[in-house]
Amino acid sequence: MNPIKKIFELLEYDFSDAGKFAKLGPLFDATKTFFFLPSPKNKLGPFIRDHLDLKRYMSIVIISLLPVLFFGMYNTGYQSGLARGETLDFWPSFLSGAWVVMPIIIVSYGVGFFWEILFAAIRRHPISEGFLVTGLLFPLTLPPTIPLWQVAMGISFGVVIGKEIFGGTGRNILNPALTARAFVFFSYPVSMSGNIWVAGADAVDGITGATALAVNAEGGSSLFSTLSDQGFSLSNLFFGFVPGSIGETSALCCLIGAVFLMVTRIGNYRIILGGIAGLIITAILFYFLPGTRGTWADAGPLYHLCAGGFLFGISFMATDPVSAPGTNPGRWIFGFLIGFLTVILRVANPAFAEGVMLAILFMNVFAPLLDHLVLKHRISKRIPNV
Amino acid sequence: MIKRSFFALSKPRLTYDLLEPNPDEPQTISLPDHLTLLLADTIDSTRPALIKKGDPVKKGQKLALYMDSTAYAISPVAGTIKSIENYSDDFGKIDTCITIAHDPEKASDIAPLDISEEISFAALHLQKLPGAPPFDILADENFNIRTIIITGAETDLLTTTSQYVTTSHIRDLEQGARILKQITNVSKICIALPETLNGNAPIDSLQVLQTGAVYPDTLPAMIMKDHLDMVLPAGKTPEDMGICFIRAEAVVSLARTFETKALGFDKHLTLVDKTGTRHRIKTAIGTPLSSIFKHLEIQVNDLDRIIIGGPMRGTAIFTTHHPVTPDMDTVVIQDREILPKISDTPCVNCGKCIQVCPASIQVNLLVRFLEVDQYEEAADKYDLDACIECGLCSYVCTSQIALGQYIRLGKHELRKLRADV
Repeated sequence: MNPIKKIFELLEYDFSDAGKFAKLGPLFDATKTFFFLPSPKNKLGPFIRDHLDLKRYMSIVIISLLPVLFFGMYNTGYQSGLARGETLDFWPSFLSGAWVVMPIIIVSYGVGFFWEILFAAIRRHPISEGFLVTGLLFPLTLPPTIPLWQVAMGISFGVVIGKEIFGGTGRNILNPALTARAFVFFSYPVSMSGNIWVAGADAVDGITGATALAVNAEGGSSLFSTLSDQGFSLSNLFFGFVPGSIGETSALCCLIGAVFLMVTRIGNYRIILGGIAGLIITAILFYFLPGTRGTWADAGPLYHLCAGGFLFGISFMATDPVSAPGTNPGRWIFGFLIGFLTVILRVANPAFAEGVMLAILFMNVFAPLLDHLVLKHRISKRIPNV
Repeated sequence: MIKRSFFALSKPRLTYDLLEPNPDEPQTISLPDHLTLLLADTIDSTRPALIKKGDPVKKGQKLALYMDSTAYAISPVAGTIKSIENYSDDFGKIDTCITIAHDPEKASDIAPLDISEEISFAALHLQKLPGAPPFDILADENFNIRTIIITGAETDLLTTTSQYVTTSHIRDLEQGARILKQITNVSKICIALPETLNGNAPIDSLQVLQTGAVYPDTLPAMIMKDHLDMVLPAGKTPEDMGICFIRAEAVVSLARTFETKALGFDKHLTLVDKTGTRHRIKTAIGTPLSSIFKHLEIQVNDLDRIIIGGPMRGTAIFTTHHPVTPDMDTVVIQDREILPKISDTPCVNCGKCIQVCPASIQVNLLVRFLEVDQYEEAADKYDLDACIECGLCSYVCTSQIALGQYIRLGKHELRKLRADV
C-alpha cells in the first residue's frame, strides 16, 4: 500500500472525534485531502460534479503567481547586488534573492496557517483552501527588506480581521492579503515607504533608493529623463529590473499571470481589462492637463501601467472573486474605477506614492453597492408579470 | 464518468449519449410476484374508500381511492390487493402505494376497454400508459394547447430510452401522432430528434426539430427557445404557453392501444449500473427495482445511490422496492465510493454558475437568499422562477454547493407560500 496513505490511516483514529487530538481534526483533514481526494459523501443531489473544486481553483492561482514569484526572487538578489555595486549573474542573484524572500513566505504561511487552524478547530470546520493564495499574495506585496516580525503581524491582521471575523473564506468583504498589507503599510511606514532599501537585512545592507513612483523631476526637466537617469527606463519598468516590492516589479510577469488566469477563467477578464482601460483613460486625461510637467500626472498611460504595482494588483488582487462584484456589468465598473482611482491617488495625493492597494480596498467596499445598482437597473428593465 | 479539460476556454460540454448504430433488443424482466403502483392521492381514513386490502383486481382495472379522486392507477396484472399504504415522495409529498399480489392463474381476467377516439376518454383511461401521456392537460380547456412536441431526444445524460423507442417503433410513432392529432384537434405536432439520429429514422409525416448534442439543448424551455422562437417567461410552464411535450414512448403506446384494443404495460428503461454499463430493459409498470437488480445480478449495498431520471435532473430514492412508473426512463446506480463529496464552503463568487446557466440567472447572488430562506426576495429580484432546473450550476460549483437542490427547494417553498396567500 501507498506509504503516505498508511501514515494517514495510522493517525486517523487519534484525530477523529473520539481520539486524543480531536481538536486538531481539521488540520488532519486538510493535510489528508492535500494528498488524497476527499472522502465525505453527499446524501442529496447533485449526483455528478465537475472536478474543479476550491483546492484546484486556488492551485491555479498559485501557478499563475509562479512567474512573478521566481522573477521576484531573482530581482531581489540582482537589486541587492546592484546596491552593493556588483552585477550578479543569474544563479547567484536568484539564490541570494531566494535567501531573502523564502523566509518572508515561510513566515507568512506559517503564521497564517496557525490562525486558520485555530479558527477551523474552534469552529469545527475543515480548513479552507482560500488561505493558500492569501499566504503567497501577501509576501509578494512586501519589500524584501521587511522585518519578519512585521510579516507575522501583517498576516495575522489580514487573516483574523480581514477574513475570519467575517466567517472565513467566501464571507470576507475585503481582500485579506491587501488588508494585511494595508495594516503593515500604515503601522510601519518606515519599512513600507518609497525608500525601500533602507532597512538592514544582511543581503541589502544599508543602501537607500527610491521606487519609480516616488520620483519627481525637478527644475523643469521631463519626468522621463529623470526616471531613466535613475534606472527607471520604460523597458526596465516593463521587464522589472527595478527595486520595489517582491512581486510587483515586473509588468511582464504580471501580464503572463493575468493571461493565464483569464484563459483558465479563474480570474475574470472583465475586471482586468476594465482596470487597464480605466488606468489608461485616466492617465491620458491627466497627460493633457496643463502645468503638470515633471510630475506623475505627466507620465502618460505606459509609465502608469508599468511602474508600481498596478498590474500585480489588478491581476491577482482585484480578481479575488469574493470581494469583487458578482454581476458582469458590476465587474467592468469595478475594474474601471480601480484603474481610475489608482491614477488619481498617484497623481493627486502627495501622501501616497502608490495608489493601487487603496484603490482596490476602496472598491472592495463598494462591490456590493455596484451589484445592487446593476440589479436595480436590470429589474427596472424587466417586463412586469402582471 | 464525465470529464472536462483543464483549460476552461469554453463552458463544460456535457453531451447526450447517442443510441448505438444497431441497438440490441431490450432484456425482458418476467412479472414479479408483487407489483407496486404509486398513486398521487392521499389516504383519508374518514372517507369511504373504493378499494381495500384483499380486493381482487383484474388486469387493466382502474384503481382510484375515492369517488371524486382524479388520480388513478391501472393494474398491470390480475390478482389481489395486498396493501394500501402511505408513501412519502420528494419534499415530503404524501402519495399512496398499492401493492398487488400477482396471480398468474387469472391471467385471462382482463377488464374490458371501450375505446373511443375522444380526449376525455384518453384522460380517464390512458393516462398511465407507458410514457405517461399528459392527456389531462390536453383535455383541460384552460390550457389551450396549440402545439404538441414529441420528445424523441433524451432530456438527461447517460440514457438512450427515447431514442431507442423512436427508432425501433417508427411506424407506431407515426400512427400514434395521427391518432393524437385526431383526438386533440391540435394543428401542429412536431418531433424533437437528435441531429445524428435523424438519418436513421426517416419520419415523413411529422415536422422534425433537430436538437443539439450538448446538454441542456433538449429541455422543453430550450427547444421552445431554439426552435419555436419563444422564450419561456419566468414562472410559466410550456403548457401555459400552449405547448405540450409528450414522450415518444407515450405516442407509441397510444398507437398500440388503439391497434390491439387493450392497454399496454411494458415500459422501456435504461439502467446504468455501477460500472457505467447501460442495460436496456423492458418490464411491466409496477415491477419493483429490486427485481430488475436481481435479474441483472446487480448488488446494491447500503449507502449506494439509486437515481431515477438521470444524473442531472433526477432524484434519489430511498428504497429498492420503488416500482417502475410510467414516466421512468432512466435508473442510475452510483456506488457509494464515487458519490460527490459534501461541503459547507460558502460561495466564493467565482461565477462558474452564471457562465453556465442557460437562463442567465445570477446564481451566486440567488443562493445567498436561498440559504437564509428568503424565497420571495429570491424570486422578486434574483429570477428564482426563471430557472429551468437543468442542474448545471451544481455540476460546476467550485464551492460544491448543492445549488440545484437549493433552487428546487426554494421553488417548492415559494409555491407553498403563494398557495397560502
